[in-house]
Amino acid sequence: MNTNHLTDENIQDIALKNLKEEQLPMHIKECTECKASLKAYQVMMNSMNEIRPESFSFDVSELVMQRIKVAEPESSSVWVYVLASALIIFVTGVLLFFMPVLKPFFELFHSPDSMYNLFVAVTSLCVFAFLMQDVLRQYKQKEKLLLQ
Amino acid sequence: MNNDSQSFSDKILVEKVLSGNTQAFAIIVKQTERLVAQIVRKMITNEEDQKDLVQEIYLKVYQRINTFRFQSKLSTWIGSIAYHTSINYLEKKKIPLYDIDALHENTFVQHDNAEKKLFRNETSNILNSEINKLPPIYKTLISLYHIEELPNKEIAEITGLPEGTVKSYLYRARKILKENIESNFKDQLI
Repeated sequence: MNTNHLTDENIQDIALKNLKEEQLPMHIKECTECKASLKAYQVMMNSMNEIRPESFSFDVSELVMQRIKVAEPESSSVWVYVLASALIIFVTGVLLFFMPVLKPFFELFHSPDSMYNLFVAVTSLCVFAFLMQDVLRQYKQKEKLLLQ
Repeated sequence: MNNDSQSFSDKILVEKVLSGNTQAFAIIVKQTERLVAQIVRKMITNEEDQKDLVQEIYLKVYQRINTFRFQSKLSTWIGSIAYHTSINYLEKKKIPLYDIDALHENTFVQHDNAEKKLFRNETSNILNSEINKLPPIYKTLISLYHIEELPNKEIAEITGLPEGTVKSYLYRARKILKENIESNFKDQLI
């Protein structure tokens, strides 16, 4: 008898193939040790097929869809653009309409000195950029909190 | 469902989700719930944590669905997100993923209870309880291969492990299972 036993991996491969008795390698047929090991694997693998698949004890769809609706992006970005355009048109219209009243206010910041004008413009832009950056940071923080 | 029709169905669902149809996403959740359960429940036992993780997994899927390139089945991609999210959770909790020594300690601690149980349990229940004592990675691989009946290639895609490693972990897991069952339940099973 061939005493070179099959490796455990070989025996598992044979068990996975579910071979019939006549298809088994000669060694398995003759070696009680390997045959017993094969039988154990076959019993185990057949029993695995009978194990019921895992399932959650809660309603996954309900749980997930609630969360998805919170995180759902705006349904249509087209409406956002339409609203933004309408707002810009409205603000421009208001500014043009009230320009005669606002003119003295703008003249307060207007100077013949171009360096002074440049300074005012750059400072305004810096303050605006700082505010926008702060708004963006707050928005991201809130988004992160919502998605946690 | 064959691969082509599966891929077609995946494409339609993904396109619908991307155009803002949340009902299509609900279908994806229904279709993949079993696979996600197989992964999450094998790794995490606490129900509240399972709830949190399931939400986190599907939220990631929803947010990243625009990055899905149809290089695998949608279910495989979702399975991969479920697997890695669960692994991250276990790592955060410092739960060993492959620790065989912990497994043996665990086996002996539970041995008395298991012996009492075996008289009223069936073979598959005993086997299932033994599978649940395996380290997280091993029990997930065993359930994906033997219960979900996924091929090694798909398990490799889900776990990100090389196919050879998946095969070798499966051999090791089955060997441990067989040895544990033989030592604990020999008379009843074989």
